[in-house]
Amino acid sequence: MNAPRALLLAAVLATTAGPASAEEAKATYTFGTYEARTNVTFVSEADLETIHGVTHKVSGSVTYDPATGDATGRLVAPVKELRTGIELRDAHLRGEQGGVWLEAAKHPEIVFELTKTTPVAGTKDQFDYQGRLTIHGVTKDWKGRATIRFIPASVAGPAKLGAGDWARVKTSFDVPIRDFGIVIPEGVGPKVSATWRVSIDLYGTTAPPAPK
Amino acid sequence: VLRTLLRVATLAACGVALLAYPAAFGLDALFGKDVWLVEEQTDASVVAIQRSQWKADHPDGKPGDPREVAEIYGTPLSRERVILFSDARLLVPPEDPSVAVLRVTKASENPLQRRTVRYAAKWVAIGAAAAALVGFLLLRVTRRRVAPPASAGTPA
Repeated sequence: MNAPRALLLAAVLATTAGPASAEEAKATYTFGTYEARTNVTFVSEADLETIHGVTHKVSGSVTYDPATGDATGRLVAPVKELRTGIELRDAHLRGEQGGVWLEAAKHPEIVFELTKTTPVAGTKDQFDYQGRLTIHGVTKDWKGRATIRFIPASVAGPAKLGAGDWARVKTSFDVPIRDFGIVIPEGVGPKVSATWRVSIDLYGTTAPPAPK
Repeated sequence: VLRTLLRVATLAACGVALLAYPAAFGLDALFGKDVWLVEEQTDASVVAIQRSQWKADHPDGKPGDPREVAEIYGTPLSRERVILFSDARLLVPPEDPSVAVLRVTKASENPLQRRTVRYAAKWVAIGAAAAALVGFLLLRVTRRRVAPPASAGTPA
């Protein structure tokens, strides 16, 4: 990208980062249409090493009402698509080859049901959210704060992001895995933390590509 | 012959026990790098958007939080000390040259971390020390067994 175009893009983004104006209609953003724009990572810090994991396979949609700043939706991540950089460890994570962790055969999906968002006063792009998080078949009420950047079609198009309006959603939170019934097997204590840090960075679009 | 082999093995175990930690520290001193591990963003248009967003957030050009700089290039995983034998994949962002970003594809990569090397060194040292101790004990026991009786050389 050349410098003038980058400056123009930066200027436009600076003015469009907050929620859209009240007169705009509700919009449904579809997530997971491009793997490179779908990043969910998890980090488990322990004595032996920090385990870093990722998945680029998340699907779902969120409907956002710019008049109220409220949003509802559902996002799903298949357990079998979690990757940590070591094949055997991935298998253990799925509950295969002697592993017990997430038991993908019994609980194939991690699901987040978004029930409410509220813009944070005094910020241009921060939202408090509430919902229900299901991991390993255990559902818990969940809340946190996310950064949401809206990228209108007029910016997304020239930036080659794709058709439609876009929203970038970022959030991170800690998951105490035992609360979700995940058992840390005997002997792997130094290898795995009881709390995993999850970070989410997703781009959603109002104009998802047609399925092939 | 067996005693000679046992002696060599015991000395080797001693050497490993003594050198495990210095080797781990030496590896770190020679090849250790403090980096932001980042799940690489492969979509150039997304990197451009994220750079623009960062610039919009930092109109004065001051870098601020290094995690935000790393976010331009992908999804930050954590700040780690890694053992890196080649700098080829290391990125020094122009937005903040004090930050080193190591772009990885976690689906297939697992960079060696300093904490893993130290953890391994600890257990290698303990294991080797235990083996050396066993070796010394065996050498001592077998020396007693092969020693001739005290009365064997006594004249009648």
